[in-house]
Amino acid sequence: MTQDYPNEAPLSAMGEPPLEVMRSKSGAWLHQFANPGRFQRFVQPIIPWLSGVALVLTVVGLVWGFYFAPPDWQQGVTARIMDVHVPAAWVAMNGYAALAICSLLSIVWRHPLADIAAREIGPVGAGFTALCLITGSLWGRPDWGTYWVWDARLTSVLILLFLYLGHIALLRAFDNPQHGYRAAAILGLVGAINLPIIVFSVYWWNSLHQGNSISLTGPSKIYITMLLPLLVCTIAFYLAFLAMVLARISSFIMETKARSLLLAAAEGGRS
Amino acid sequence: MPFVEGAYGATVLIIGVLGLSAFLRYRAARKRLAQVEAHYGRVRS
Repeated sequence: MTQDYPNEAPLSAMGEPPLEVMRSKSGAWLHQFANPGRFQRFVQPIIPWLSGVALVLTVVGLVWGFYFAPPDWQQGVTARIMDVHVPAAWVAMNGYAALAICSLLSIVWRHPLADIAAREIGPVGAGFTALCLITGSLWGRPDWGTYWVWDARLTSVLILLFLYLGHIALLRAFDNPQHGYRAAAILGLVGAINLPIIVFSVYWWNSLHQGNSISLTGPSKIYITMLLPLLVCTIAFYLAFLAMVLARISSFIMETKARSLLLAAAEGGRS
Repeated sequence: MPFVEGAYGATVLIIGVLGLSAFLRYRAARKRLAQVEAHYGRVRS
């Protein structure tokens, strides 16, 4: 068998980066991580452990939030929805930020793994955004008296879901995958403008949605017994997101490698 | 309370579907690659 599959080179299916990029210092630094073989060697031992920890923490966080989180003095037990709604919203937004960074890496440096990462972040991010919207609606009904209002925060998160769905659709809309990756990367980058709008919407416009209760720089407005299950769920959701995205990227690389081997064998048989 | 149950149920459903689909795809890809490599030989550059 000849060495047809570029095991140690950037994915053949993704196209080679331009030579000037490979020669530049930043390009060379970035492209050492574009090597799928190196990526697989680094990621494959991590995925089972990451998935296991994410699963355990998710179960602990959900049981803690559902059964043991104290009811709010005004909202009662419906405040427990916070433990799934808020982490889902954070993961949805930061997932899109990661997608936008991958889009930038793809457009500027034509980083092959960035295209794959953006491709695999899309469906997972869309799932978490849908979760954020569903849990938000279920929280809104008892507290606001309605499942939905065309409020700035809610609408901007709905736009985030459409951006995710648009990214997924655009990737698959072209016969030439390279065109799909390029168009989706532009959408991914342009869509990032929605992220500060989501964050600041509650301050820029009159909104039913409350402002931030937790800040990285200031004290939390949430009592510690309610904060702890929220923090556990937050860590669990981030780890689950990371585990899913890494597993999907790794799967894509293995699928491409298997396809390349089969193609090489078929071409070898023809010649 | 039905709203809380609905929210947690949706969480289990969505994260479950996402996680399970990622896991099954990962397992299938590993299995497929192992089969192809076993058949056509492991390739190294």
